Amino acid sequence: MKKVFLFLLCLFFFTGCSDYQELSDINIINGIAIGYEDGEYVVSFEIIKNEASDNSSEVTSKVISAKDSNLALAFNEAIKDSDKEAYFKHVHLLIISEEVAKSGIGDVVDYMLRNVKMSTTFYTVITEDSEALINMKVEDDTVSNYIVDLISSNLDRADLNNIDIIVSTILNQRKDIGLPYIEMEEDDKVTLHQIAYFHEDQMKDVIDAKIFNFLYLNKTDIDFLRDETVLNMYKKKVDYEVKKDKVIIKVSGRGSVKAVSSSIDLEKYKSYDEVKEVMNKQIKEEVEEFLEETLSNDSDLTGIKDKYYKKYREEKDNVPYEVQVDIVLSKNGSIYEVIHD
Amino acid sequence: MVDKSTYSSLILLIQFYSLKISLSISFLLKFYIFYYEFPFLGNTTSGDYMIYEKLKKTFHQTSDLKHKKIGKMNVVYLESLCSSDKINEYILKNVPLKKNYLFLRDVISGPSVVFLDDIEQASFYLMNGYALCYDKKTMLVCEVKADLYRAIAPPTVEPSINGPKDAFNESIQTNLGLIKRRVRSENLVNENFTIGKKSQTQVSLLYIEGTANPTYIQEAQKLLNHISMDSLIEIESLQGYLEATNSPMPTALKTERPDKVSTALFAGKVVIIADNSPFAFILPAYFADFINPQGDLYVKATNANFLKVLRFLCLIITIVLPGLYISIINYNPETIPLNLLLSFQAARLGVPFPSAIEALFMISVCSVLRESDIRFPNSYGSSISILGALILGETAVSANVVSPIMIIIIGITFISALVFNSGNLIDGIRYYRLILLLCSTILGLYGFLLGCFILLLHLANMKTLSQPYLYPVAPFSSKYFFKSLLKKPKESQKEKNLLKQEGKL
Amino acid sequence: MINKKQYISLSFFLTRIVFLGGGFSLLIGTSKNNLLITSFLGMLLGYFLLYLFYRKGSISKKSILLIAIANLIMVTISTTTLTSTYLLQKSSTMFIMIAFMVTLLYAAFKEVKVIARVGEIVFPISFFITVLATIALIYLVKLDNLFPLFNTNFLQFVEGIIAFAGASLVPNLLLINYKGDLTFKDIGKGYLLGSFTVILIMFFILTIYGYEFASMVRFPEYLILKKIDFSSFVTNVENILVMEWIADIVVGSFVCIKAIKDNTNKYWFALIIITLIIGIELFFNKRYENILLIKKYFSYFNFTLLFFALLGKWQKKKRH
Repeated sequence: MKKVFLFLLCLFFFTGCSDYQELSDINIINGIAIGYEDGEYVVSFEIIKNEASDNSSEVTSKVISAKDSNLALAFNEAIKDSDKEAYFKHVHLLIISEEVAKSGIGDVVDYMLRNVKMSTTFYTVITEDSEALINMKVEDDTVSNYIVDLISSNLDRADLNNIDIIVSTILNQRKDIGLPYIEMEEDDKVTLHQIAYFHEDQMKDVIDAKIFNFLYLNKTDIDFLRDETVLNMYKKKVDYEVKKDKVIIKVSGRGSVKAVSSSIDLEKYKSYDEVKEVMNKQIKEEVEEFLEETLSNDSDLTGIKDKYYKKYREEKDNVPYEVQVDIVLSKNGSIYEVIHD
Repeated sequence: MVDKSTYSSLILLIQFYSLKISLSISFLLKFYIFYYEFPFLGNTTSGDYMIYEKLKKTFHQTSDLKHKKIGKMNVVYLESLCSSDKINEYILKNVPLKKNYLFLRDVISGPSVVFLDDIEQASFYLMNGYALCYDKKTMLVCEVKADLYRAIAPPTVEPSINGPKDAFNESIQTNLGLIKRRVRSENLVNENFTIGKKSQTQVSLLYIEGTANPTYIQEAQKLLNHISMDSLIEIESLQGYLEATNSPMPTALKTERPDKVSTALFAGKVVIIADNSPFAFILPAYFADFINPQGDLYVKATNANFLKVLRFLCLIITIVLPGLYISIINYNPETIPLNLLLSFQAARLGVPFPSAIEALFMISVCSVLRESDIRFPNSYGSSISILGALILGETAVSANVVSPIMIIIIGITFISALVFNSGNLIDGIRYYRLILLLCSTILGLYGFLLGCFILLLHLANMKTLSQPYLYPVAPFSSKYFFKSLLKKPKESQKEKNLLKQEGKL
Repeated sequence: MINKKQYISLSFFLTRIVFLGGGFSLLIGTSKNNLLITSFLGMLLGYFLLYLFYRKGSISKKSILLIAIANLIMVTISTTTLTSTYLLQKSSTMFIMIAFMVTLLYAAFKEVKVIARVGEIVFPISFFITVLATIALIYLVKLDNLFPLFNTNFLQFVEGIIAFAGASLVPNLLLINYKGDLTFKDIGKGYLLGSFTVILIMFFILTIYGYEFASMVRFPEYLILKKIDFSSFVTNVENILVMEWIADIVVGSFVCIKAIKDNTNKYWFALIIITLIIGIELFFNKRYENILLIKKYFSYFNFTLLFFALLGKWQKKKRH
């Protein structure tokens, strides 16, 4: 009786294995591009082509696209075009076109999070033409890997490659996100010098990435120039002091002098104060300019409103702020004075 | 009046008859004593050859049953089991020197002599290498066993670099001697059992009184007393009787090393040895005991602990790796980094079989190779290894029958299994490996986890001599844990303290 | 009976089983930023109630049966839902549930000692993986997300405490009858350890996501595991790490099913199991709205079971 039961159980279990999939039966999708054309979503997948070849370092990819008025249906169409089962768990890059970003990325992130087959650890970037970017030709690599390498070497931030953290920031309506903005140049070259900043889920504009990197990123290697003096801020700390009437943004850090103006002699004690004063001013101006531009578009990348609310439980649309900069010159190079005028 | 001559002749006559009477009385007295001492005598009065004929009939006219009559004495023995030198030395050489012996036992100079009451007892002793000596009054057996055993050789199954290099052989007496050489204690108890109705194999239960747990002793005695089998050829046959469940995992530690047996005896365990078997069983044998070899005791603790951890990892790898590989590759490939996944995918291009079938195929081939390696004589060994390498290596991969990744996985699995000495353990974990592979194939990681739980429950339910099999891991015991799974350098610390006290440090 | 270490390990698992698949998102939605405070207070309440049960000595068969069946239903639903959502999307839920039940039935026919030994083995692995996973997420923690505190009303605050106490304590009551001669200190250790690890996970969910996002996600404890990333090599290990949760649930379920088996005869036991399988498949796996309902109210229902279990004879205090 026990053996009959075991046999029936084995038969029952052998009817399963519906989730069993062979590696050769899946198409690994490395990048997704979402654009908008003629009122329809254009979804493109970058599929890694894996053919047995002698050169194992060569990785090639192909792109398939589909269109539909609804994003989920556009995805389904694109999946149908794929000859094998689409495998999304190794998606490393999501490219959203500017048009979609300006109308709101809510639909996109909703689909990405709701879909259980999707990974959540991928970089999200904005670009003017997503389809052109994903169809770009890259030697010996996929577009997604190339752009991911570009981002990780330029922007070192813990949560940029996590879409759910981006969504959690969007849901917290007192804080906004900034995503990398990729610019495509003529000879298939891409640059990452700008950040697209958002208000809730809608993109407002782009801004130079320098101050964004300076204020919000872990790795800092930012140069500030004023009056021929170049200071490289290699370490920084941004503190927020929340008072009843304003929020004080205190920027402190350590700088390394890369170049000085001819009037400064670093052998003298006084020169350091001069350089500090000059660079403090420069940094303060640049930060204030950045904050002004973003806040005027209702984009609070710093989260000033959020910090004020957390302390005083008061939702204010415009929270006054003040920037205070205090840097220290700790590395000055091998020579004191300028060699040539 | 009586004449002088008549008187003297009368005296002579009285002396003659009194002498005759005293001689008869003494003869009668001796006869009486003999009769009481050897009451069977009534049976031997019918003739010398009758006993031999009776024995020949019992042994079905076997050609090696020999009979020799020297003077009053008869000797019967099985030529195949007895040593003719010993027969000469202990029995035949003495007969001409003591022709008119009064007692048969004075003629036999052997160390082991047993007097028999009944001829029925004779066949048991004849089968055990004894020679039956009898005359009209006495019947006894003298041990003249031939040395049919091999010399003490180095261990073949459990070699050791740093430890002793002697191993048991098929003689129970030699094995006992090897053990007693290490355990020189009068508390070493040796209880004898005879198992096998036809083989009448001598089995000994050894333990150190005062050290061994009385529960173990009682359980072992109970088990040995209740064994009923026709023959016991090798001690392995007892394994089935020593455990309560039909599990593929061994519950008695089989060893050919006397040092391992001595260590177990000092640890309070019981040992079973059997005649004609070069192995001993150590009980109770916990799961942890099968993992580490005896050689760890002869190495420094820190070095030994590294190897112990490595062996434990090998155990887990050999059971878990094929199932885990299938569940990850076929159900959760996102866990593998992209570049590695792409190379796996490229390696699997063109292979017609699913990974699970490939894994089963490779496991079968490796098992067949391992079996052939054990059975084949050494002279064929090289050609088998070339064949195996060719089949598994170049040819199978280039023909796209299997992928190179699968060969690596199964290769690592089998090499990890070869780390263990115990053949029973390696055979047992084979089933567990297959069960996990099957569970992973059907339900992926979820099935793999449920399979692991079923195996854990199975192991946790097993008992060895009524003790939990997974001891000292569960129930946890730090004392035994540090004796079996990890080693504490306690002795070396003690030694250091001693030297310090004596001022040598 | 079971010894101290085994009791602690089983208690550790039983404290955590209800939280997966319903406990976290429910509690986050109720308590918002007060989650850690309400959980801590819930833990203290649970500890106090555990002491009451320790003093009581034993629990009646009917209470044990009710608690075991209720918790078994809940964990079966949550395991099946988690597995069918993230691990085996195409396999049928009946299939997944039967595989789960087969494992439980295998354990039901073993002694409690055997289940305790399995728990003792799995406990350090489970604890180690939990700590490792949480350490890997430290770099994503933003303490700002914990503030502002006390952004709920008093009723929600109390609900949070009750929900935590109900979810964490009630499965532990299944072990009270096996405590033997253990002191309360030994019994409480497993409960505190389990509660502590649950609170730790809640801390990470709250600080990484904030309560708005975490309360709208079905399995926030699964999502945070997706964040683990060691130098781009060890990534996407969430499916392996979630096995640790499922292992906890399986060991806890062993205790539940053993409690059912020990307190019924074999016919009733078979009837209960078959009814459970068919009932869950018909009412829950096919209709998600019923799962929402059970997840919403289960912790409170569990808490009311506590009072039901408190009824009955109390053992007399031993006088020396």
